[in-house]
Amino acid sequence: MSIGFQEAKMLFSGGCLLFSSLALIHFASSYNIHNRSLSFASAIAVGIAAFYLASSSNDLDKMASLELAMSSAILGLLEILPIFLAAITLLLFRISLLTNRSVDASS
Amino acid sequence: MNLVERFQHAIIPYPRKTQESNHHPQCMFGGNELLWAFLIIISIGGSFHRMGPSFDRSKFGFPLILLGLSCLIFFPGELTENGVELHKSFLQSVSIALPFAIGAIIVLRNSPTYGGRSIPGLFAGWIFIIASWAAIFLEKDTYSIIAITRGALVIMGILAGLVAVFIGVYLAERSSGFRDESEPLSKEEGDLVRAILERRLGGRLE
Repeated sequence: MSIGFQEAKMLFSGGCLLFSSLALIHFASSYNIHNRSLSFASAIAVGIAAFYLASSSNDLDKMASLELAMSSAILGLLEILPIFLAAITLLLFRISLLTNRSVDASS
Repeated sequence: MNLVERFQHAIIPYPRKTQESNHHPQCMFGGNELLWAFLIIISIGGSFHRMGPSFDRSKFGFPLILLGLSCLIFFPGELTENGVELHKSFLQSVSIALPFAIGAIIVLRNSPTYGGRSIPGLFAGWIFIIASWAAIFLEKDTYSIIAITRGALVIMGILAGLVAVFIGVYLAERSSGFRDESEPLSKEEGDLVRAILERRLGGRLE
C-alpha cells in the first residue's frame, strides 16, 4: 500500500488549509489598529489556492472535500504526534538533568 | 414535544444526492459542525495568549481553551463516519498529550534553568511523562512509513502556507514606510535607561 498522487495532493492542501485557517483565526483574535491587511490577504490567498487543490483531488462536493482535506491533515498530524513528543522529551531531559545554568535577567 | 424534538421536526428533509456525498445541504460540514466549532474555540483561546496591543484579551485564553476542549471531549454532537474517526483520534491524542503537558510544566518549573531545582518536583514531572509514553506504547502498536509520509506531507503543506504568509507580512511591513518619529526620552526615562545599562554592563556610561 502506498500514497497516491491524489492523496498526497489532498494531504498537502489539507496542511495549507489548516495553516491558513489557524492564521486567519489568529489574525482575527489578535486584531489591533497596527494590523496590515496584506497579512490577512496572504493567508486568504493560501486558503483559496489550497481549497482549489483539495477540491480537485477528489470527486466530492466543495464543502465535503474541504472537510476531508482538513480532517485528513489533522489525522496525519496526530499520527506523528509521538515524534514531536520524543523531540520535546529529549529537550526536557537536557533541561532537567544535564543543564545547571539558570535563566536570569542578565543572560 | 420538547425543544429538541421541535427543532428536529423543523429541519426540512432533502433528497439524497447521487454523488458520493450524502451530507445534509443545510449543514456546512455534513454533521460535524460542533466538532469544528470546538476546534475553532480552542484555536481562538490559543491565539488570545499573546503579548502586544491585544494583550488585554489574554485573560480569556485559558477559559476558552478549557471550554473548547471539554466540549470537544464530552459533547461532540452527531458525527458522521469521518467525524467519529477524527473524534476518536482526538480522544486518543488527549490521553497521551494531557499527562505529557502536565509533566512538562512540572519538569520546567522544577528544573534549574527556569526555577529552583527540586528533585521531588522533577521526579513527579517525569512520572507523568513516562505515563504518557506508556500510553503511546499501549495504544499505538505499529508505526508505518506511510503514516510518517502522511504527516510529512501535511507538514510540507503547513510550511508552504507559513512561507506564503511570511512573504505577505514582509511585503506589508515593507510597504508601510516610516511613520512619525517617536518622541525623545524624557530626563527621567533617560536616567532609568542609563541606570539599567550601567547595572547590566558594569562601569559608568559617559
